[in-house]
Amino acid sequence: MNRNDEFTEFMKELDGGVPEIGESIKRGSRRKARKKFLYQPLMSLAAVFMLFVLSVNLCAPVAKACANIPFLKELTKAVAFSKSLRDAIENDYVQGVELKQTKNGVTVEIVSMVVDQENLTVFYRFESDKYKHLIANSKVLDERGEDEFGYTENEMSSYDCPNEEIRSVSAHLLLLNMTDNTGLESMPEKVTFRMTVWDRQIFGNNNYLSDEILQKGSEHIITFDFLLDLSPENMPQPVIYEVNQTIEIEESKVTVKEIHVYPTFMWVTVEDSVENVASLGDLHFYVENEDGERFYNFGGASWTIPTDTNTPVLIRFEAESPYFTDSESLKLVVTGAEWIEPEKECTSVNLKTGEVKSLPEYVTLKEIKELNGHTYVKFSQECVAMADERTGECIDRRLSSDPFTREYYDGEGKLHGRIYVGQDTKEELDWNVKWYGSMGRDESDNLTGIYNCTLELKDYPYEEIRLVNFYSDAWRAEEEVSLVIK
Amino acid sequence: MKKEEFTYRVEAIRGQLYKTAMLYLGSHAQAVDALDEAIYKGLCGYKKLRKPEFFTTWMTRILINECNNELRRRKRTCPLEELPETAVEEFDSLPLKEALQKLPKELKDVVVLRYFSGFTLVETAELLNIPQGTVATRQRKALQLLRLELGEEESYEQK
Repeated sequence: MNRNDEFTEFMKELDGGVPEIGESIKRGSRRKARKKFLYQPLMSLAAVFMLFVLSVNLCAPVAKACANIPFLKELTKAVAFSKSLRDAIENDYVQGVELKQTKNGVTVEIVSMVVDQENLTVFYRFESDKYKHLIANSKVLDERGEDEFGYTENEMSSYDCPNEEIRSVSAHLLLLNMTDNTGLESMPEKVTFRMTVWDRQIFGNNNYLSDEILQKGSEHIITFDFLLDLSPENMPQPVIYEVNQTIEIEESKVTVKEIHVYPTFMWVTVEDSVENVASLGDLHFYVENEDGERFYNFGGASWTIPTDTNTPVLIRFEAESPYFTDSESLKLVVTGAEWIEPEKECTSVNLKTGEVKSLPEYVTLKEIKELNGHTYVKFSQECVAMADERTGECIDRRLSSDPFTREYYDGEGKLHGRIYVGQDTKEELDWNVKWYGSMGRDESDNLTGIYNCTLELKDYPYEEIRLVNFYSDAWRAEEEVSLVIK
Repeated sequence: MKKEEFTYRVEAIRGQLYKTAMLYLGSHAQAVDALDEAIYKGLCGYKKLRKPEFFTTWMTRILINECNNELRRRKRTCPLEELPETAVEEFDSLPLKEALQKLPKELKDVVVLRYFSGFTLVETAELLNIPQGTVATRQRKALQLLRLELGEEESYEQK
């Protein structure tokens, strides 16, 4: 073989060794994110390193975070609804947890969790020869299993998952009552994760935990308690941006004060100026980086209501997090807002004459009818049905989750705190007023942008009902309204 | 440049990058490590690349630096045995792979980039930060020592 032949053979050998690049890109991306995770803006790097080393040696959950987490694809699928949680998992911000319990023919396995300074997401799955299809309603309590923390979102879309498929449940542990500041101020060391397990069959055709089911809590199969070690001292501090910029929306002023970016979510704190006549009810926005990547707010908000009228109300809106992107610039784009004008906090409906006052903007009374002793009051709400730029699918971005809250005033002016939700709520349950609705679809099953909702009254003795409005006026941006975060 | 574009461009030149690393380091495992490291550094810095048309030379330069770092580390524990340019008979007696590894570094750098990784004379000059005339001279010497008959502008077709 001459030299040129050797050259040709050698080149073939080299071509055969070329590796796939995909895994290198993933490893590089994870390293980049880990670099950000380990670097604490509010702590020295040396202190972080020592804390990290101590934690790996002393604390099982963190040590497992450093090991390979199995089922990463399944975990990502279990949080398909949350871009922030998907990003966290893809950047290895997830802890392995190997806890398993078996009772009454049901085995529950907690496989992993994602924890940051305010939120906990637990991933679990079932195993059972006795029950073909299990579901759980979960909550997070203190170490003793007595006082509940914050608010747990039980993801109803997981109710149709097979037992062995990994599911998720997220809890906002630091949600406070901002008026009297009750609640946790920081993440606890340990929590009790309580799962109440049902056989899916008792739900019938419903895909939600209706009031009927909750009232029949004794029909659940079993309850499990898991003690979870959160190790809050190992969690990264949020990245904080001081914004302090004001925007004017139809003669009202809103100041974006600061933004806290956590690994799994982002808080945007907004000040509702004391000069505003109407109170800010909701703000719709997204944060965008230089690559056009968007992080939308997803409807969670909490209020700090001052005791005096000269201090502005602060509202914290929750949004998806850009924590794991290496964004060089961020801007906040406001797309809509809802207000509550004074004197328009309630919609009054005269059930006899059909007269209605102070309906929220974009809501129309369609009809009132009596049938078999029940009164049906039907509304429609014009929504903003938009295409999801990420998936191309048409998604529901309504002005508000509903035009009305779950409270109402009866004909004597008495406030009732509970409108039942669900069309299939059975007669024998104790309800007088219930509410249900659905997004309108055309013949091709596309969203029409109209939300049709019904108030059903049973044995309601009064001529009038007053519903509490989520908003009275709504504004949608015609041109971009934005401010620079960094 | 967005991350998707970075990924796409790296994918397009992965063969070129791997061969460069492999020929510098002589080991598949170490070549993959160097490639990983170069990709990581590329991910950290791609947004600062003002002229995307220079992406290939930019990434290759990062990779060559990584390879040179590894070679410097190796030198401390296992010095590289190079043969002088005058050792024509010794080069003749070696298989091509070994002969390539024993070339003086300045000749090896040129021949690897020109004839194994597929860079042009101009690109090679830029990558090594040397004049084009120097590239031409060194490639001629290297080809003579390796007894390779490859044209001045010829390089193996890239996949």
